Amino acid sequence: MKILDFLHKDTILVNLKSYDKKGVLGELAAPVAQATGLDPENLVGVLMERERLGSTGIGGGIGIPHGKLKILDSLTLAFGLSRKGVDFESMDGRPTHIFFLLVTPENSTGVHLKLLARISRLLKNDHFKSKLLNAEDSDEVLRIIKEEDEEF
Amino acid sequence: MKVVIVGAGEVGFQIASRLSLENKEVVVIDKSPVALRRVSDNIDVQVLNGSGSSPVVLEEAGIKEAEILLAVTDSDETNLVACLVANMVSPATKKMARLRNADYDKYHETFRKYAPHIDTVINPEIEVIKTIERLMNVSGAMDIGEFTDSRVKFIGIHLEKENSLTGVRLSELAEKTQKHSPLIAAIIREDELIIPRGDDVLMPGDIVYCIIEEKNLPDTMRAFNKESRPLHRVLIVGGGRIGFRLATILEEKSVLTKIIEKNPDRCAELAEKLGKTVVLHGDGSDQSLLSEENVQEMDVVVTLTNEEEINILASLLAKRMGARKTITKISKLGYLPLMSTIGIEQVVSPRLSAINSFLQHIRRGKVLSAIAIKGEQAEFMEAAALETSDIVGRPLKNISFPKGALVTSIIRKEEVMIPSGESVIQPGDRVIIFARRTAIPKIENILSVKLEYF
Repeated sequence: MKILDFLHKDTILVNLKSYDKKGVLGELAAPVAQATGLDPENLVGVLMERERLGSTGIGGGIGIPHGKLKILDSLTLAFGLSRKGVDFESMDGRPTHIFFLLVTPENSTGVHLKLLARISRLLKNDHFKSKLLNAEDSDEVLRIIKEEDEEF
Repeated sequence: MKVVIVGAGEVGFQIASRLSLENKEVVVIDKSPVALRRVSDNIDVQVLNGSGSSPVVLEEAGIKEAEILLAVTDSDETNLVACLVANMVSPATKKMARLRNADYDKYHETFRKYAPHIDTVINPEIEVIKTIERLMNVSGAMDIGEFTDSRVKFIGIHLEKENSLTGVRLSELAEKTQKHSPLIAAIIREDELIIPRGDDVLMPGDIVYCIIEEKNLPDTMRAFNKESRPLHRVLIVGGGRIGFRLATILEEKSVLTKIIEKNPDRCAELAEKLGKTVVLHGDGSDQSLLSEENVQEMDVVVTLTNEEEINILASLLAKRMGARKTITKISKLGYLPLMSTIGIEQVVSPRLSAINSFLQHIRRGKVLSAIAIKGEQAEFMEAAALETSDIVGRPLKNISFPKGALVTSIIRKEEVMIPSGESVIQPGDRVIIFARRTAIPKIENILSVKLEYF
C-alpha cells in the first residue's frame, strides 16, 4: 500500500500556525474539506469527538488524528508540520510536530487500519522522521514519502 | 483542552476550579468585575470582563480554539445567546448551557438538533426534583442517585449507634445480612472518605455508600434496618420554581401537600395554578405556624426557599417538632460539609447537580455520567467500555488500577454484575467506577482508546 495513493499536494501543510488541538485540526481539515466536499466544521467535530475518547497524539512528536465519515467517497490523507509544536495532549506530554490526518468512509473494510499501521510504523524510523521535520515545502514532503513508498 | 466558561457565579466558579485542578486551560467571562476578582484571586485561570453573548468578547476569549463552551450565567437568555453566537463563530466547539426556565423544558432536544446546536442543556431544577423524589421514596437513604440505566443506583446510608450493623466487619457483612449486603464503595467517617477493605469495621456515625440494583433496594434497606414508609403528607417550605414543580408531582401521586410561601402575590399565583395543594402564606421558620399546620404529622418536610439560612432553620425546627424526615435545599456549596454536623441529613443542591451534569462531558473516554460525592473528594463514573481501551479483554486483577479506585459494577445488556478480580470486561459493557479525585486522571487513561480505534 502506497501512502501517496491517498495523499496529494493540496492537503499538505508545512507551516501549521495553531498551537492547540482544535486549531490544528481546523487547519488540517480545511484542505481536506475542499478536496472532498465535506463541511469543514463537521469534519473537525468528528475528529474532536474521536480525540475525546483518547488522544491520537502517540508521542515522539507525532499525531495521527482520524475519523470515520458517512458522506465520504474514499479514504483521504492530509499531512501537516508544525515548527513550534502543538499541545496535542500526547501520551508523552510533549509537543507534537508531525501530523497525518486520515479520514475514511463509514463502510471502509480495513484499508484504513492498514494505512494507519503503515504510517505509524514508518514514523518509528527516526531518519525518516527527521527528514520530514526539516522539509521546506510540500514537494519535499512528497519526495521524502515517495522514497519510502518505493522501498515498500 | 480549552474551555470557555460564561458566567462567574457559583457554578462557573466551581467548574473552573475543578478544571484548573486538572490542568485544563480555562477562560472565565463575566460582566461583573467583582465576580471575576473572586475567580482570579482563588484559581489559576484566565478571566475576561465583558458580555459572554458578545461575539467580540467570545473571540477574544479564544472561542475558536475552545473545545467546550459552558454558558452558566444567571440569565437563560444570555446563556442561549452565548451558545448562538458561539455556534456562528466556532461551530465545532461543544456547547453546554444551563436553562432554568421550565418553559424551555420541552425544547432541550430542539436546541440540540437545530441552531444554536446546544449539545447539552441542563436544568438543574429538574435534577433536583428527581433527587428529592428518590430521597422521598427511599426514606432511609441520606443520599441517592442513579446512573443512565436507572436499574443501578448508589445510596448513602447513615449508621446510627443503635444500628445492628455497627461494629460489623465488612467481610462478615454478607453473613449478618443474609446475602443482602450490597457492594460498599466508600465510607465517610468524620468527614474522611475511606475506601474500605474486608477487615474494615462499620462504626456508628458512618455514612456508607453502596451500589445496588434497584430490585434489591428494599432488601438492602431492610438489611440496614431502614424500613421504608409510604408517603402520605408532605410540607414544602418555599413556593418558588422547585417548590411548584414538586407540588405538581406530588398532586399527581395523591400525596397531601402543603406549601408555605412568604410572598402573598406568589401565594395567589400558586393557589391558582395548583389543585389540591394547600397554599399557606407565612414564614417557614415560624414555629407557631409549623405547629398549627401539624408539622409533627408530616412524612417529609422539604425546605426550598432561596434563603439557605431559612431552609436550614426550618428543617431543624421541623425535625425537632417531630417531622419524620427533612430535605433541605442548599446552594452555597461551602455549607455542605457542615450539614451533617448540625443534624441536617438530606440535602439537595441545584448547583451541585449542575456541576455533576457538566463534569461528565469533560471527561476523556465515553463517560455517561459522573457524580461527585462528599465535597467532591470522589466520584462515581459510569462509562462505556470501548474496544482497544485498557479496561477490556483481561481480568480486572491484571489491570493496573490506581490507588483509590474501584470497579463497582459491570452492566452487560440485561445483567448487572459485581465484579471480582477474575472478571473480564467486554467492549460494549458499561462500567461504574468509584474513584477518588486523585485517581481520576489514571482512570481516564484506562478508559481511553488506542490509536487504532476509529
